[in-house]
Amino acid sequence: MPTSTFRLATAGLLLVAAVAACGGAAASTAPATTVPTESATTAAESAPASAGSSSPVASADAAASATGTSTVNANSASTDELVAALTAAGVPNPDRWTREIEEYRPYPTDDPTLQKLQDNLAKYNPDPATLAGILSALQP
Amino acid sequence: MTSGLARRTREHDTPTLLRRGLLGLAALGLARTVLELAFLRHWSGATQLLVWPGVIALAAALLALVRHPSARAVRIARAMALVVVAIAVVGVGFHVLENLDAGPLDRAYAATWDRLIGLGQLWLATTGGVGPAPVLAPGALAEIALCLLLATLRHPALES
Repeated sequence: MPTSTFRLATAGLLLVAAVAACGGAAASTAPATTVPTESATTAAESAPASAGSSSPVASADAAASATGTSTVNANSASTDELVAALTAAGVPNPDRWTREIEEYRPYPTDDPTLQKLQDNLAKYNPDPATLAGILSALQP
Repeated sequence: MTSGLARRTREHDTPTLLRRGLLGLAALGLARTVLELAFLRHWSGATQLLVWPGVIALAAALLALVRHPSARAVRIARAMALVVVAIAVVGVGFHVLENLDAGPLDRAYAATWDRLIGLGQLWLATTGGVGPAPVLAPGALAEIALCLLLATLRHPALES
């Protein structure tokens, strides 16, 4: 009986250790996705600055005025309206970006920079010009 | 407190202690997972909601094993744990798909994504090269479920 108990204990500990190692790998995955996110945010913020603008919002304003596009409401616009607005702003993959915009609703109406949207889109490591195009097509 | 713990440890045999330890680890893992899911607001869309029935099933199985460890409860807990392992596997799949879907949005691959072979896209989506979803994170559910399954191994309620 002590032998079987020992075997049970050993088998249990080995399995838990193996699964815990798997869980550790899962946990270690998060920082791997976080690093490019942070660098993406930094790059997204710095790229427009190097282009002569102070922020993605400034780039968005410039993009909106350059293309003459009108904006749609980020909180209440329909899917079709969002796709049309993004397409008009020259954003690639407008369908896919529209899903992201809808996913992270609602956006604070007192934040004209749509910072919540910017933070969430940064996870996808978008091109700064794409981010500016998206912001140029939206208002809170 | 330490002496009380030592006394209680001596009162039980090793399998009982290990079983309770596994249940304790499962409870800790479940609490950690629920907190993390809440912090991530993991409830936008049907695919993100899929995890919550799994969490509820694990909580119910854990409660059944702790409070009413009858033979029937043990069997139900085992079945629930197996279902949750399946949910975890599906979750890993959904996370990979989410990252695959995000590939064309990534500035590093926007221009070349469509020219990559499927295996290349899959590798990037699985290893965190593109997309925001942590691929192996659903494995936490499987880890908790396996703890519960182990805790039911040679359970006294099944042998009586």
